[in-house]
Amino acid sequence: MAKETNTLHRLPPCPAYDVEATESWLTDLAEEGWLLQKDGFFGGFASFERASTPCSVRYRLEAADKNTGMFSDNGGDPDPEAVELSQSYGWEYVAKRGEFYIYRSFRPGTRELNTDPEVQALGLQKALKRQKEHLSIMTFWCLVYPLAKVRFGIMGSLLAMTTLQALILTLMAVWLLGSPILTIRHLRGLQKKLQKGEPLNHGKDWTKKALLHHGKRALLAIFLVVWVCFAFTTFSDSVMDADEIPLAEWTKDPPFATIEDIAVLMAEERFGDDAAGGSGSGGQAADSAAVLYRLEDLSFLNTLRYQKNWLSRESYLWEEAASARLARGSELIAGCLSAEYHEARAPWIASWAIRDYNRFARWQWNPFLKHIGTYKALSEKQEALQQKLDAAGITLDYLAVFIDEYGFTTVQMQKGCKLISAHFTPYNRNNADLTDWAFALANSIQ
Amino acid sequence: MPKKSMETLTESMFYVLMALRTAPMCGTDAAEFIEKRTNGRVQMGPATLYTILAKFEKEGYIRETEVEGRKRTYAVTPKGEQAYAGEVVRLYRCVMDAEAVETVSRKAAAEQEHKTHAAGNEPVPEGV
Repeated sequence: MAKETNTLHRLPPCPAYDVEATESWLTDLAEEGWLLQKDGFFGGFASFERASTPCSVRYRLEAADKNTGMFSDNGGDPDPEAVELSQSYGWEYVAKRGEFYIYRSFRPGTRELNTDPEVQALGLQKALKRQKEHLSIMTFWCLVYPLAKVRFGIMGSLLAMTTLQALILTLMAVWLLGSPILTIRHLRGLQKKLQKGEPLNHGKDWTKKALLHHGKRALLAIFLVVWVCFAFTTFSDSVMDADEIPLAEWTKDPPFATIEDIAVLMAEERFGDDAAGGSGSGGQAADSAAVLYRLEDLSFLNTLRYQKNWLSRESYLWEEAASARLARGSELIAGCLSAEYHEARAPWIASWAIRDYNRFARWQWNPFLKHIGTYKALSEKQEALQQKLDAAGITLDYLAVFIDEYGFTTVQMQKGCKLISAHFTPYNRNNADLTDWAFALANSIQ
Repeated sequence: MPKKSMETLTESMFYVLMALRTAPMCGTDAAEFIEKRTNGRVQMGPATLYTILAKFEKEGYIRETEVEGRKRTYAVTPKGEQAYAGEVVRLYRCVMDAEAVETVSRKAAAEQEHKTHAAGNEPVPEGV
């Protein structure tokens, strides 16, 4: 014979703010012989104990006049005066759920807990105020702060994220902001109803939306598990640099000019067509123009991060420390090239993103980095580069040359779907000029 | 459009002020007073009573005069007196308006009946 259990745990079929459905559900369970346990709402579950006989119990929810959190006054429980007053009229305080205190009465003839709907509407005001405060806090932490952190560069940030990262962060923001908005909307509706003098429907059919509510809860649970896994993976990847690939192992040609490409272009400029042709009378010149390229043995550089996402066909985060010299001549270029390249899925995405990156460089908000430097436009260098580009018939949709907050001479350019933000740090003065390396980059994204 | 909070006192609020004007008392005593005064017509639910007391105290309509264990005694403040007097005037006006409308409509009905009888050369019944 199966052992009869005396405790029942159930997931509530409605959100905490649905006062009418909660009252109706608890009353229905009492009629089935299950009474809500003292402080019976915990961890999203409701616990019930078996009644000696199924009984007619009225459950009523009362908007809490203070924060119901356990660190609030009196552990978030109602004021003892209110509890005693209710007790004297046959109403017993049972538990709290969300912004509400739950009372019940076993006496059928007892007067209602709330006899004036307009006063009950007044009672809802504090709950509404707390939800609005909660929404303001969430808006700051989920919207304003992250956007300010990326200097309101939404497109630039989305391009740099993986699709999963963007999806999870968006869903998280929607959930954290949507939850108080829904609560406020529902409580306002309830308040308006009460202000009109209409009493609440204590016998609301809670089964109607139960499936939808459970579906939402299941989705939320799945989302939370995915989010935890994602957070853990992202953290461990960033600590272990798991997504970094050594340049030496990368076989695919990047779609933008690297140090080797810059050196070849410089050699071509120096030796003209002979270098490119490398035959006939120009054989000697071609021999001289041969470029010897060497990656520096630096453990923290010479890596790349590669990804594709819903906004970009491919993205590179390129860190290259290398030198190149002529086979029979001097050093052409030696230094570090740091580039962020994206090929967006549409030109407008690229155009938006490159402006985001420039704004990010311009707005230096971190007071701890102020001493390092600030954005400084290099108009003359940009002009010289533009002239060289014009002479070569190379056009760009966007170009900015500046010194960034860390003192790096940086170039940002965009052409169609392609955009690149790069800086080159030479090892010595006798090295590639901005007009050389930036020209090569511009040429490569045509 | 919903009323702004405390712009007008609801019936329960009005009676709570009325009760506390008679003498300082606790919530339960006020509820008993109201029930007796209205011959059981107005019955205050405990949550309603507690919400009103908390709201009145916040608005400065009443003040706590004594605390005995969990029992708190309240008395009306001058601001509460003012709100009560304002509500009494409002209610008087409502009643006076209702009476005036009633008098006018009775008079109109009487005149109408008089005309009807006069047109039909019927004697006007006594008492009209």
